[in-house]
Amino acid sequence: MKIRNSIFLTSGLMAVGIAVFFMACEVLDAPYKKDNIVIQSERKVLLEDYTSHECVNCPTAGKVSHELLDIYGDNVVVIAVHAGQLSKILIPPCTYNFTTATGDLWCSYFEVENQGFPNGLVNRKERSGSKIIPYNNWFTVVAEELAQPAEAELLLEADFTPSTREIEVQFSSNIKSPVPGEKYYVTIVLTEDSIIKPQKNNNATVGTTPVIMDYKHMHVLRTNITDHWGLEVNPSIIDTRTVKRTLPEGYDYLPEKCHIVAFISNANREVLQAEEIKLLP
Amino acid sequence: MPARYWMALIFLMVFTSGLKAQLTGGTIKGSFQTDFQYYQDDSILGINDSTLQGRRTGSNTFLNLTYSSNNLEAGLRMESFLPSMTGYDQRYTGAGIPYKYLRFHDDIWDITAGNFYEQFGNGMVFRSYQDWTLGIDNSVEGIRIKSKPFKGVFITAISGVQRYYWDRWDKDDDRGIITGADAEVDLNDALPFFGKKVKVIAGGSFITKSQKDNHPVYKVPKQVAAFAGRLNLSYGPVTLLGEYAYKINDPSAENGMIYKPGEAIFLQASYAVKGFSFSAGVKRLDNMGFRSDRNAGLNDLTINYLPSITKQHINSLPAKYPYATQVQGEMGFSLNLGYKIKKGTWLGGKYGTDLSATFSRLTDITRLPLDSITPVGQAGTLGYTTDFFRSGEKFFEDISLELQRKITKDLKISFIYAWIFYNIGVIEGHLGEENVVSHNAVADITWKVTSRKALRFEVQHLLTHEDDGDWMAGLIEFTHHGFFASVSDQWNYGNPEASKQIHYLMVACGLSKGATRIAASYGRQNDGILCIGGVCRYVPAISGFSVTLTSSF
Repeated sequence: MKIRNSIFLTSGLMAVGIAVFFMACEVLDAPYKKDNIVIQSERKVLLEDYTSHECVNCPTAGKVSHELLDIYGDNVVVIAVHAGQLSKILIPPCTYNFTTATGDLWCSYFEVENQGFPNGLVNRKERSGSKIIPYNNWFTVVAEELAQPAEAELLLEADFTPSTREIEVQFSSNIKSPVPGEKYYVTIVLTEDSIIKPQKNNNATVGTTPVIMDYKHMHVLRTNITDHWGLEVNPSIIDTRTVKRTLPEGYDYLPEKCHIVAFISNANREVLQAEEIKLLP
Repeated sequence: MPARYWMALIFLMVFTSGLKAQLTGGTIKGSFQTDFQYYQDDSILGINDSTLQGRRTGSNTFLNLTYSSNNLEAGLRMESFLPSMTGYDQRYTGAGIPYKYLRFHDDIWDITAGNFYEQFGNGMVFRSYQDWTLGIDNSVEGIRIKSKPFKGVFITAISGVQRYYWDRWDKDDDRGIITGADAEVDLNDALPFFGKKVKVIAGGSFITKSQKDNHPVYKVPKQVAAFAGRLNLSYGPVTLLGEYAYKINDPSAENGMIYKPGEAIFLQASYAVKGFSFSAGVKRLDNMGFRSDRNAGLNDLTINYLPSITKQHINSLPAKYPYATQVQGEMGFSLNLGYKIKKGTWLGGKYGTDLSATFSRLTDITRLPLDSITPVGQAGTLGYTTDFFRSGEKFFEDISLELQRKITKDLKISFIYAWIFYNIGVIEGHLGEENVVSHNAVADITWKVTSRKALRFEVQHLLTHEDDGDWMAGLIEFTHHGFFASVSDQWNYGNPEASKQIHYLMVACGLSKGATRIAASYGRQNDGILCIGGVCRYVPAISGFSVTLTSSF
């Protein structure tokens, strides 16, 4: 009886094993890229790329954010936040200080440096118990966020007066289904593209290693226009406001390379909608 | 929520402490471990409230309980990380029962429902294990069936999902389901005509990961399979062991979304007779990272384990530059020689002298472009081609010599010299930094003062021109019948920056009684890489005190 059971058991397990084995092999052929990527979303996702010129993996993360922009276009808004102790190391050739008070505050609040660079926040939402999303997960998480309906609308207009260095931003926020008692904020910052400065790198497919001397830093957080955590808005109306900020004398931003980035967040800092426009038309 | 778990934990401890309870004929066994750390400011190490982010304490606590009765067994592990200690992933912070199971076993069957740990062969396609020193727990929650249908035949089948911190799995989860089976045949037992002279054990395993296609850009396989075959031969003092593993296309964040199949080979030969042993190991890995979520990184959700062939140094300075397995590609070998000089000879002394030597070398594999326009490792391609026998950049090399000798009945000495080459750019990701070449020397003297009291002195030195420069370390330890007290210091006296020539002084004491041990320490711990079996974790510098309590009942 025991031998019969054994034969029965072995045959059963082998049959299951063979079946699983054949089901288990999905060998794909080139081309491996999907050809039906269609975006139909009113939602714009904020990706904060926490980075540093001393971080050797950060150009790889930057490449991921550029690929996301290639795929999703305006539906993704990127801010590259240079922050933390690593970004304050100013040893040649990486001697330019990209850090900002806003970036340092966000980095500290979300405890990003604790997890290391590069890392990111996608709409500042928690996934798997953490708001910090490793760059290799950005594709998936951004796609998931874009699949959600837009919870708010945000319109922006900007004006810049070079002689006074004054930036004026007019925004309109419309929270579609505000949660009773919840507070909402609009945060506006200035970012700059195409800053050519050295960047450490360990990925030969991105650039030279160990340093890319003429790395093009994109979407760099430059300064805040509103307070670091934003301006409270009235969720029950289409709230239209104007905020102004005068850049300090001697600033080294190129206005034609700058963008205004704004986003609506709730009291839990989760981002509902984001928007980006050029500083100069 | 944590308070509730603490109450449950205390209740369980009180309920079970000190007794080997008989419960309706069954037996309860358990073990308990808690590690608590208090972190203080240390201006020299740059530790302050800001760097600690307000976390002054950390504690990792585990309570294991097992109830068994006849053919049935039930077990659980309660854990609390309140919050998790510095250097451990903060996603562990919390408390709960992440490990629980029911098990039935008899002569043929062994069936587990719930959480389990398992390994197929050397683990090259599947190993589920926990190692809290490394902060790893990838237990599988599901079902495991083991059977011994015939004498010498062992079959294991598993299916489930891996643990990911405190996340409960649901059908929309990014974690894939892993399913697999392993068969092992001991030919000497299974086939009586085979005889006993040459011992032969053969095995084969396969495992598959089923994960949804959630990638917005690339087509990804929803089923990724890996399989392996192994053979273990032994004849008298000679043992030969080999395993080959293959994984089909598995584009992942770890390999940069390339579609090249993965391969791994591991061979080991050893010869051991009284007073002499020799072993050699060879390993080659190519694109063998395998995780149940293709987007996972760090030590998360690893399905397989790729064994290390390098020597694991136990002294702190030679262990400062340990090798971490490069799962995306490495090849190398190791040689180990052990010899005991006979007692009663001039060289061997009254009690004999043990000598051992190790040599290991690991390099990158070669990666050649697929064509003239596609860069190596380009996402959405096969990535690269490779020449199986050609090695690439050197990653690690270790030449170690060790001598152990008992001088008198009460005095034992050991000396270690290790020359280590460490490619810090690849192993730690510090590209551009010079490879570290270090000379390490360790002297250890143990003096048995009385039958119950002993003193141990240890002096270490690390000499290098790279990284943090030279180090010196010393330790004095006193043990007396289960009690120990020690003072140790590590001094980075050769750091090129004068402000970093820091002493890492540590005082520690502890007491063991029966199955219970308590230990406390106060001082500084320097940062570094902790590796066990090629799997590594970064340990940050801390200053403060820590207490460890372990017990089993």
